[in-house]
Amino acid sequence: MIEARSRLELMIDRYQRLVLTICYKTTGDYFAAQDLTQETFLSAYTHLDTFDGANEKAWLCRIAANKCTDYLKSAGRRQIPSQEDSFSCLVSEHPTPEQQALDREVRERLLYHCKRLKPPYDEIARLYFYEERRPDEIARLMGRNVRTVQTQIYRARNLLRKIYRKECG
Amino acid sequence: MTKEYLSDEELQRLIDEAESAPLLAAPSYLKTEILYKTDRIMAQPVPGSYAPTLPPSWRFVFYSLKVGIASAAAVLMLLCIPMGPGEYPLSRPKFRVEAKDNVFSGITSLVDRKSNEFCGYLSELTNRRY
Repeated sequence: MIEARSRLELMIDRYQRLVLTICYKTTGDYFAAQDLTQETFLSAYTHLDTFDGANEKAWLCRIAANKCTDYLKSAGRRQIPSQEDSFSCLVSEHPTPEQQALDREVRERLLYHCKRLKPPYDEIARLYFYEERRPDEIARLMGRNVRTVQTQIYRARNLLRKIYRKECG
Repeated sequence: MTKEYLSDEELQRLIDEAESAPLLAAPSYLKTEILYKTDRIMAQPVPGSYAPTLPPSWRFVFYSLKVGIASAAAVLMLLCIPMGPGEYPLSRPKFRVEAKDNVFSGITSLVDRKSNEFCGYLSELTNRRY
């Protein structure tokens, strides 16, 4: 079990950006991409026994791609995006695929949506999702209980998820 | 309904295109949340063990049923257990305190007499009036 966990940590460190990028490019929804990335690694963890160890990257990306397909189907999007479509969410907004431009766009959009939330979720969302602070840090900053902060993070995530889902249609 | 998963060639193309472009930066809490969820998976009871693996909503339903049945049984016992005349413990002679030559017996009888007089007065007053 401990060995499996260590292996999972290694996989996360190596491939989380790739998996997140694939999920984001496929769905166009930042929070759905995060959820699908988490599900990908959790699925990989529970099925490590069945993995032959041949091509870890392809195996993870296969899980991620299938999860994206399932997500798009269940969300009522009948059309599976083709290679061209998978970039449509980005190409129309950014002509140059540079690292800073991509990150900046995602983060600015995230900050904009965080500010749209009603208090106290706006501040919670900004501190956790945009500034990436830990829940105990946020609790200390805001003078609140950690459990309260965790509950508010959970609710803020659901609110942001709805906003992103509406945007991507 | 069969889902249209990507073929191996399409998947490889997707990976190559994703890698050729800049990768998205993963937020720092993503790894923390994944590891937290894997710890919860590890903490779950093994299938076949005595620990129940029902979903929380079903566990709540069964708990409510237990409480309801216990309450109904208690009320039924109260209604059904027979208590005939003279069986009440307080009516038994041995529970009556006989206060002979007791200081308090004078006080209680005085209070009793006075309250009876007052009640009698009130009832006369109301009888005359109405």
